[in-house]
Amino acid sequence: MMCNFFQTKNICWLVVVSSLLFSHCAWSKEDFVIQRIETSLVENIYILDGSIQYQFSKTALEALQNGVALTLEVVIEVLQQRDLLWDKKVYDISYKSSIHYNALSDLYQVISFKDSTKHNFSTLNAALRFMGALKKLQMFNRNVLTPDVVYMVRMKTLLDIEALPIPLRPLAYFSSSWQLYSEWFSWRLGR
Amino acid sequence: MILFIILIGTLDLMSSAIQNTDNANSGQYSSLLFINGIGLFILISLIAANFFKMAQQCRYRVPGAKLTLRMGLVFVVVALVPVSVVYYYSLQFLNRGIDSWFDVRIEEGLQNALDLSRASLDLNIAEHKRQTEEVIESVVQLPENMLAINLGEWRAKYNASEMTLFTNTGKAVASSNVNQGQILPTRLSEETLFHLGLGNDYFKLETIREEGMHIRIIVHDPSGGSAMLQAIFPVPKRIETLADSVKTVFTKHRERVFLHNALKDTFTVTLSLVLLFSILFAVWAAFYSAKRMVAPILDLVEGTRAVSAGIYDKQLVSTRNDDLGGLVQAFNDMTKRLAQARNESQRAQQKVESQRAYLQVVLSNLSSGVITFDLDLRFRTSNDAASEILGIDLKLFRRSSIQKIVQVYPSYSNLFWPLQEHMITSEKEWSEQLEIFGAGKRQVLICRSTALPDGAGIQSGYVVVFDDITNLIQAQRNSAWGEVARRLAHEIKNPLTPIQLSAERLRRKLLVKIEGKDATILEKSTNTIIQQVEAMKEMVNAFSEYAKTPQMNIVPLDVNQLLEDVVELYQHKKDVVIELKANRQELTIKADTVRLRQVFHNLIKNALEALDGVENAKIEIVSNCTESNSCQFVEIDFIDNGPGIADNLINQLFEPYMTTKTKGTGLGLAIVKKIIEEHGGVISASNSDGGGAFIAIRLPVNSS
Repeated sequence: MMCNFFQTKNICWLVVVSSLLFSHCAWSKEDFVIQRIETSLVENIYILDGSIQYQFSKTALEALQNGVALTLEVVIEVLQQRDLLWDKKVYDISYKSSIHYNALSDLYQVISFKDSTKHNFSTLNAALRFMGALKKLQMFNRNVLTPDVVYMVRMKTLLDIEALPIPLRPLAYFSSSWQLYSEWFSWRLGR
Repeated sequence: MILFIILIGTLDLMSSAIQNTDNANSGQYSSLLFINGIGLFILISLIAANFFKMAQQCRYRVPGAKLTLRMGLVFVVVALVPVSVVYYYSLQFLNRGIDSWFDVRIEEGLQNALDLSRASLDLNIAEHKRQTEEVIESVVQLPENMLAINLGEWRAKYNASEMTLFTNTGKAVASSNVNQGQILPTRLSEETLFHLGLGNDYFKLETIREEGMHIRIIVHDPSGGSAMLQAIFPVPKRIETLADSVKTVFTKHRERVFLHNALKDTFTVTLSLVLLFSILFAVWAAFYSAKRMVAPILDLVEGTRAVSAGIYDKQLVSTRNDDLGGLVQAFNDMTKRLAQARNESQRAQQKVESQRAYLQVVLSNLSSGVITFDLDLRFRTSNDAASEILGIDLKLFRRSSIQKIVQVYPSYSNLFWPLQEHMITSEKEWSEQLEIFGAGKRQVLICRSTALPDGAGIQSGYVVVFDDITNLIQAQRNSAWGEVARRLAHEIKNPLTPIQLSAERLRRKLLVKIEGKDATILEKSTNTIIQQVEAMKEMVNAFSEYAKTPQMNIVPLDVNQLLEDVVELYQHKKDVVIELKANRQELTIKADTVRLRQVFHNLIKNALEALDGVENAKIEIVSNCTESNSCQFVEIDFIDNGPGIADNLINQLFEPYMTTKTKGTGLGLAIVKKIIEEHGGVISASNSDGGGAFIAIRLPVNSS
């Protein structure tokens, strides 16, 4: 019985050390910044307007120039505030859009996954500005919320590593050049 | 095993995801990689733990641990070598294969194709730009209400899909669209406006509203006005298709070139995972197989240990049909037979033990003495009766030679030398009557011997059985003498009285009738007859007394006091000194006073008779107690300084009718011996150092 205990103990230590080791790779400086967020209630639908500043790392830019499509995801979560327990997530939604470079036309094309629209830009900055401009983004219906309960909304944006080509993914998980994301931007939901 | 199967499945999915990115699994690649990583970690941990456990077992010398480890390592090495070789060469082929995709010539070709497409499109763009400039030159002068119609005409002329006149702020002034339902013109983006604001014309290949590739031209008013004309020309389908395919291929290829190393790394990682799993599986399988193979050997080791510890009926469980199973079966047969042999041996031993115990009891209770000797004539065993008869502890002489026994007890030489002589001559059976003087007394032993065989019937020694027939002989002799005495007394006594009476009658009757010489003769003769008859009566009475066994009156008496009383009666004898030495103040025994007194009287009288005519005659009477602390025997010695006892008479001194005197019945010493023996004592006669007789009496303190 002692041997089994020591085996389990060793395995746990290995897991903890490995986690610490690998988690270090995920730390990165903030590349995406959520500058402004405004929400409004229109016909029982919460609408979001805001702006995000996107800034890619050199590695990401190089990949983009070489034909790799980059997918950006905006994640919005609604949390029910609780006094004794941790906040409970009652609703979440995400929006994805991708940017890729057209070598033939020397244009940057932005595709929104929400409505499948395509926009072309001759410069990267224009394309990023377009992607960062959140206009009249429909979040959720008010009916999903319980009356007289305090809710917090938080949003973050990140580069979707799972959308990268498979050969890039293992490297992307452990490289800070690919860990591009913003901090959570939280605000209290007005009723 | 389940873990292995799961991991092999995930590896397969990963592999298919890498090879075909359109595969449904490509989206789960990271999860699969993570699962494999976790699985690998668990596998390595489990194998390391097993390895550690095995190393501990080796350290503590657990049976089979070293063998298992050795076999496992051999299997691992045997598996590792080919796997490693395959891995190395697979990696080489993989890298070379991937490298071959990215031939410089292919890249150049693709670049050229792209450039060609661009050049072709540029030509179109240049033509359309010219056309757009022509149109803006024409329409910029027109009034506003004519613009739309004019634009429509120009649009149709040049097969544009849209022509729109903008102000420099991006506000549409007039527009014409091939699609009548499209009311709003294609808007100018801020970036486009910014670009135009710098005074540059805009001409790009774009995808407009999902309607395929278009050439979008925006030119400024060449006359310097603020107007801008946007013209959108569709790219011919064929060119669009070709250009699009070139673009797609080129993009894909460029992406691949960019991912060249990453691709190689990904394949290498996957191949390495496969290798690692193969190795781990090989290691696990190696140790599992080694354990399975060693398990029956361990059972055999355990079984062997049990047998060496004396557990002979150990049976091992075997479910194998191979050589090891056969070995286990053979082991089981062996232990079964061992158990049977052991049981039989135990039964035989028990039988032997019980026989030995039986023999021991029989021998112990035998009244005959039994002594055994080995072939070297060394003493082996004896029973209690032998020690009792001889009066020595024979067990002290175990494995001793006869010489040793005689050396310690020379008085037994008369017994052991004849025994040795018979055994040396290898007489199988013999019987002899031997006389010894052991244990302070004379003993007559009847000895019988025979060869002692061993279990195989070969002679292994000798067994001597002897009985002390001294008492038997003595009793027989006494009985015979007693019977003779009784008969003699009876037969002789009867005629004596008539003879005496007749002689007295003759004397009485005839003596008054005859005178002179005849009277004298008659008187003398009758007197002689009467005296001799009296003497014969006396002799007959003595015989009667010897023959009869009187009632003993046993009382405690002080021997020393009795001796004093007896000696007192002879103090008047001036020519003999009778000296009494009592070494203890009081010697109390249980005896018949009268008969003991008779003994002392007889012995003193004999001594006096022997000392007749001897100068300085002396009789020394010594009384003592043997075994000083616990007085069990009283010894009374009568020593005189007379002529002693003749050697030829010494053995028969106490026989009836044994006398050297001219007168006397010859029964004195016989009666003395009889009385002493009736008291359970012994009497012996020898010559003292001074030459006189030495009579030693030993009486028990408690007379039996």
